[in-house]
Amino acid sequence: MAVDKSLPILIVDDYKTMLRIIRNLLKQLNLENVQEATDGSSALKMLRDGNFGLVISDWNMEPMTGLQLLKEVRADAKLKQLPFIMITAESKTENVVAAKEAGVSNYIVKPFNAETLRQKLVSVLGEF
Amino acid sequence: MNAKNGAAVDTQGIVGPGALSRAIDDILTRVKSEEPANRLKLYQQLLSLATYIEMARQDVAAIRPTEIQASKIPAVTDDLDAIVAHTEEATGVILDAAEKLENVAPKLDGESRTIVGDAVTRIYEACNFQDLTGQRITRVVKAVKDIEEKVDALITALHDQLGLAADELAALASVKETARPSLARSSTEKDLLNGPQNGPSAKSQEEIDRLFG
Repeated sequence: MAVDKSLPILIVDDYKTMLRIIRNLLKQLNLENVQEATDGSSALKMLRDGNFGLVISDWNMEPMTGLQLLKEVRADAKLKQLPFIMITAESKTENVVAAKEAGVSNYIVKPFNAETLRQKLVSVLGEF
Repeated sequence: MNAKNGAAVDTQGIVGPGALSRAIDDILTRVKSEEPANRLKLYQQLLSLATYIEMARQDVAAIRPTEIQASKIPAVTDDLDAIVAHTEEATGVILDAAEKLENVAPKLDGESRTIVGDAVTRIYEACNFQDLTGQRITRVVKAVKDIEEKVDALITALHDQLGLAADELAALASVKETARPSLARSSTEKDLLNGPQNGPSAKSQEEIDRLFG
């Protein structure tokens, strides 16, 4: 079954330019129900209060990193199954391993292109 | 531990004057118990050591750590912050233009629409640079702040020799920028914050996908 393109998506990054880029690339895929957070703490609150179908998050943020946000999501009874894609400049092996062990759904390294984003969304959500 | 209070070594690794004084007393006691021939040898070695310390002190004073602390480091971090701000502003202008083109594209005929659409996507992808630039600069700023801490420790340790009064030290401390607050993280998670990599260390998406499985 094709993905519902009205799926609510939360994108998290402390750089507003990156939020804008990801939003525009999602819009090109007709995924327009997008909300933004600029740090892990406010993202976690939005996730707990809302009803999101996907999180796309940066890693390197303060005070809560994307990895900590992922761990909080996976520890939350309501959120633990939520698809979570990390988009980050952190590309060392230990980063990928740590994210995978924490339960990330997929991992995109910056700089990324539109096709990579589309492929990872398909792998996590299904065809759309 | 504060080296000025006579403790052995402070948190910056600086040996305090109290510890040095005790070490010198120990050496003098040993020298007095040595044979005259050995005493002369020891005296010559101590004289060399004293000369070396004096030359090192003069070299450090010549670096003018107070000037580095008061103006050069703040100037560097100000410039780097300005770079991040200006590139963010420029990227915003580029994205404004790209979004306008994207809104116009549906009004074009088939081939033109595709060309403009593809070009807009390439612009969005290229604008990744601003995020990576910001992260690299943040890393540089952190390195500069680490240097600033070392210089600060040097000034504190040498303030007598540099002729700084206590109120001058306090004035220097007020020049330092306030670091961004951060939650205490485990050392393991902090070790994972490396930012964008260079050259062979920078993994491609294909390598990441292989790791991810």
